[in-house]
Amino acid sequence: MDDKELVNCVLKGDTQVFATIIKNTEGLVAQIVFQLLNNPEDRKDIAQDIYLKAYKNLQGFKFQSKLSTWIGQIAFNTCFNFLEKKKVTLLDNKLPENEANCSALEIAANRLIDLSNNEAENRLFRSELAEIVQAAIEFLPPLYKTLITLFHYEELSYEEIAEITRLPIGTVKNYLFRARKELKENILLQYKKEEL
Amino acid sequence: MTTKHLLEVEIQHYAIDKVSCGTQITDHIHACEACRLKAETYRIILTEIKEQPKPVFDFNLTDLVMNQLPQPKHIASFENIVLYITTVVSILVTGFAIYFFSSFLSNAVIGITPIVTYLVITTLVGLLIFLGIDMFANYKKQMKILNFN
Repeated sequence: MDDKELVNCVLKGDTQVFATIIKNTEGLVAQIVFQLLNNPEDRKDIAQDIYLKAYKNLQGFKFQSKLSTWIGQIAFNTCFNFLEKKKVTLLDNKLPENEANCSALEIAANRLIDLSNNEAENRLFRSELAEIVQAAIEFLPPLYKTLITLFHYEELSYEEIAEITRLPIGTVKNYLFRARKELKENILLQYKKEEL
Repeated sequence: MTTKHLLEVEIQHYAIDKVSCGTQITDHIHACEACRLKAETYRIILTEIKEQPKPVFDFNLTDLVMNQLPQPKHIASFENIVLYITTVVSILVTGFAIYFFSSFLSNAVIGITPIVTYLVITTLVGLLIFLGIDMFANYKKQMKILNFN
């Protein structure tokens, strides 16, 4: 069933079809919720709230975008409102740039590439790097984390991300650039620390 | 080829999609060790992001949400519509028959001979006994199934 058939079935009263909509979109919603909220209880409440809102407003869905994008937009908006109530800012820069950091980054980058090219150390390096990347993503501001995962993991287009976050496409591109830069610096600094 | 180092945005562009990069950027990356190092760092990190485990809710979201939705509305199917129409027509036909033929029916009951009356009563009692035994046998059978001991 495509988006139109699914929505029409639910609107005609066959609520059981809504379970299919949940299953189809749960992955994207989980990505958004996990990147924006840390508390498991909050995630549970918000995830339910997202789908109840989607069900309530399904009549307002005009098929101008994919159903998953529309539900993603509800997910982002619900999390955003929740964080706003808790006075959590979506953009909170934690790493000020300075000269010492820059040289440390260069050394770490060299080491990182040496290791990735060395076959013998590659396996160990991969598992270590996976942990460092995960930790570095966690260290990013919530909005950057979300943009990075939507673009590089979920492989959504700039247009889809702009629709979900209700940000202009230019802003999405700009934030993604900054997010990648900050992520790289976080990883290299973390890597440098582990090396020491 | 540009001799100045590439901008961070150009390096990111190369790391994400080197095919759509201009030849100026590609040529510079090939010639410049520092920029190549930065691009390679980005490439490793972006590859690693794609390898990260997908977040999954540790509860059944579908069940939680579906339990809070209203029960499905009764959808009028073709079979139901036919059943309703047949019932209404049957009631109407029976009603009209009783209304129009009531005098004939009363005459038929009054004029019936005792032997026919006994025959009808005997048949009805026989049928009732047969249905009663059948119901009791079914009841016993079902109780046996329910008895888990």
